[in-house]
Amino acid sequence: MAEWSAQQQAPILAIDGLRKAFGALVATDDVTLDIRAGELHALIGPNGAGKSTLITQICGELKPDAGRILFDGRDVTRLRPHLRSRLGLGRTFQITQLCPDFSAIENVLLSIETRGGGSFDMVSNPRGNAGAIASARERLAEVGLGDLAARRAETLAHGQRRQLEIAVALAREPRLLLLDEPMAGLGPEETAAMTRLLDGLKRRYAILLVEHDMAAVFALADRVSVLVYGRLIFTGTVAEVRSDPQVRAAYLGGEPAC
Amino acid sequence: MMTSRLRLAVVAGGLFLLLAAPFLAQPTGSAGLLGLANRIAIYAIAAVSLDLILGYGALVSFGHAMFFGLGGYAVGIVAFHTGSGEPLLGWSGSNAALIVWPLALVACALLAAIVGTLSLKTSGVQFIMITLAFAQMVFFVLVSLQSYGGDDGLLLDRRNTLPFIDLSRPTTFYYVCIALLIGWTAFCARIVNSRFGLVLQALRQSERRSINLGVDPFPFRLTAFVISAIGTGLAGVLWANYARFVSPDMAAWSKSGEFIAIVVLGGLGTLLGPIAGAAVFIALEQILSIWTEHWMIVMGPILTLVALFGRRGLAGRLFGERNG
Amino acid sequence: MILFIEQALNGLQYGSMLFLLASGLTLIFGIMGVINLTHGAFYMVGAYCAAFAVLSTGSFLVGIAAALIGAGLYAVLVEVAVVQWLYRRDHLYQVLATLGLILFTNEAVSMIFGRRPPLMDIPPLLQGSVPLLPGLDYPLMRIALIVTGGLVAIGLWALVNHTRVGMLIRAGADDREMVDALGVDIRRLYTLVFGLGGALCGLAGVMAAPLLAIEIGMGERVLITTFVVIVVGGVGSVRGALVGALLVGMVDSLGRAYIPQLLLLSLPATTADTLGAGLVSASIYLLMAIVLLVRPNGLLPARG
Repeated sequence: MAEWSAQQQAPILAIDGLRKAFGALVATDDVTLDIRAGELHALIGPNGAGKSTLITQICGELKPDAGRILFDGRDVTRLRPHLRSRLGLGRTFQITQLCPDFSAIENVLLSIETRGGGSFDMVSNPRGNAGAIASARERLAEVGLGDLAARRAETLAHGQRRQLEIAVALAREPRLLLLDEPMAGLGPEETAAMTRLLDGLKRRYAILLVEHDMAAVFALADRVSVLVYGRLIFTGTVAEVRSDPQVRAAYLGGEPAC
Repeated sequence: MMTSRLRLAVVAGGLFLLLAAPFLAQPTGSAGLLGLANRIAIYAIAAVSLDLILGYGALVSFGHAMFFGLGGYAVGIVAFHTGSGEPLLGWSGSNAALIVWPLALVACALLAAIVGTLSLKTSGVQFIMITLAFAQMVFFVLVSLQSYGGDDGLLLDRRNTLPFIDLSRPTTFYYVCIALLIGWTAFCARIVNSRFGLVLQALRQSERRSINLGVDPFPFRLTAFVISAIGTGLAGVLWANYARFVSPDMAAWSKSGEFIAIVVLGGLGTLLGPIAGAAVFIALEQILSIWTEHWMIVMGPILTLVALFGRRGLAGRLFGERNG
Repeated sequence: MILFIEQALNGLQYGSMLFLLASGLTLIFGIMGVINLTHGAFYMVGAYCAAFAVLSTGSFLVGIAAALIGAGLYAVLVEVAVVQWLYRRDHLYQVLATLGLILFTNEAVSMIFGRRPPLMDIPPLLQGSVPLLPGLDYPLMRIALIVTGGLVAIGLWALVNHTRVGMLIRAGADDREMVDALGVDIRRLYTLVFGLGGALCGLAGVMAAPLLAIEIGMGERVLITTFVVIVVGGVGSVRGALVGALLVGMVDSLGRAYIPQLLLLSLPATTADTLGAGLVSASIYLLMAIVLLVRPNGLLPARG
């Protein structure tokens, strides 16, 4: 089998000339980027480079000043966030956003229930829907939370909540996964486990991974984009990024690539 | 296991007390006691309704008395026209509960749809202020209705009528109220545990998460707001029939405050808690007002203490985990 | 035309009083994020203190001092005893706790001062009217209230924009954590703002006392109107409170004067009377509804 190559795939997400300024601070400066089907694309950059601002624009929580966002060929630049989500945009948050009073499985059930925006059915109990329960259990097992289905989200450990966020995002069978620093705050073992989990998701979903952990990025990514002061200074394969002098100067700070 | 058995016992005990109240009241020869139980039942319906949005939707409505007042006035105004022979917009009126009550509830639903649409454009402290302000508007409009008694309110000649059931008998009326309380609470519990309820509760816990899962918050919150208003309107309808009197005080801001106090006292987001809250609140009010005319000087600080320390309410420990 | 100017002045006077209440309330919300229903009670306490001080000394100046000190101290007491424990709690509990305080304050005031509403005369210096225009004499007391509102607006603007406390207030409204990080004793700042808000309520109370009835429950009615002012103007912003207060004052006063007349032009008298009375009392809430439709965050919100 030939080596998998992003170039051969159709783009799921295409960002074209995106710009967002807060007063004099340009947080997103003419960013053009695409994510292709089955690709794991990592977005790296120093703190304050505008990674989160970019993610929130892709999700629609923040409106860009200029530029376009195409999702699966469709212009979604002006679409409200809940509608983008219904098109198949799944995400996790840098600071976990779960329903703390719901159990782990209820959080996943919610995700399954809201694929079409949620139901006004006031009679049937989603907890009695055997099909949805089975599929939620599968998702929990997939991220390694199979034994903790009944635990309230609030009582889960930090790393487990990160895993649950991924299960919630997967449960809607998204066409594109946006993972905003899934390794943040994890210990070395948890990071290794998360890397294995993401490696398992690779190819099944198009993934945009924002991450600080370089080892994980280099182990997982097909392509890497580097964002510095709102500008995309480089996009290329892992090998290219490692050897690019401009990236090393701007971001890796000359430290030996690991 | 222990708590679930205890929970069952407490619910069964409470239900027994509600059902047995007329018999417990009889030997003491006091019609007052049955009246007290009836007031508790009516307030409980309003409290359960408010809990639906307060406890499960985190929508702090400080204006629910407007629906209580409107429900009551709908009954009062129809009765006024039926009694006086003056037609109301060409309709000669009716005394049948099966006609008047649904009419009153539809009026409440319409008001809630309008108020909710405007108020839900905001959240947090503005939502509190706006619902309070709209309720005050309803209050002043009721005061200005000179033909319906203005400030003094409106006396009803008799209660509405139901086929086969004689609502003019206090005990019968009481049991109708209890049946409606049980039915409405069961309905609300069903909603809370439904697919709709799952989304409503998710919005309370994390609006951001919910939106990013594809949920548009507004229609869910508005629907819950309207349902809650209908329940509170039902309480108003029953109150008008119970007291055979309606006045603008039914829509006063202090009434909205009482409803909130009852829900928090009973236990936010427990549905059954607010019923206990209504019982304790009304009984306490009664006892304190017998004891001293300055009973507010005690009641006020009690509410403050409940807010400061009683985070989980009477039912908090028992029904600790929110449904869902 | 004369009637219009007179009604506009009445609106200005009512707006001026609402501003005294709304500015303190909106600062308290903007800085501490707390919804304080007791604000109306401070106003009542101020009016009662003033009335009894004037009754026993005969001096209006003593009345002003009594109102400022009485309402200011009561506000500080309320903050220290109750509100400070609620800063990090949900608004629901702030509502309930301060609701309890209203009931307590109303009952306590009626026990201390008696159930009979005290009367307060207009002080000799402010009695009578001044001719503003040919055919328009306007009462001096009302003019004094308008001037007071104007002076307070200027004073607050100077305080917020040109003093250290004002800088902390602005910083606190934008970023509570930053003020914490500056090492400022935030607790004292909070108590101070509460006391200031209370004193402004007291000022409103003493200035309104000769014009309106002093009674138990006067605080809540004006409190709810103050909420309308804040929603219209934008939560947390003093400028918004000023604009909102003037708008609400004008709409209320002009509505009272003109809505019944306008309805009489097109409707039979009995219908027009009933409807007119209803519309007059609903006018400011309709104003609020319109503002909400156009600008959900109010006309001049504190942030963005």
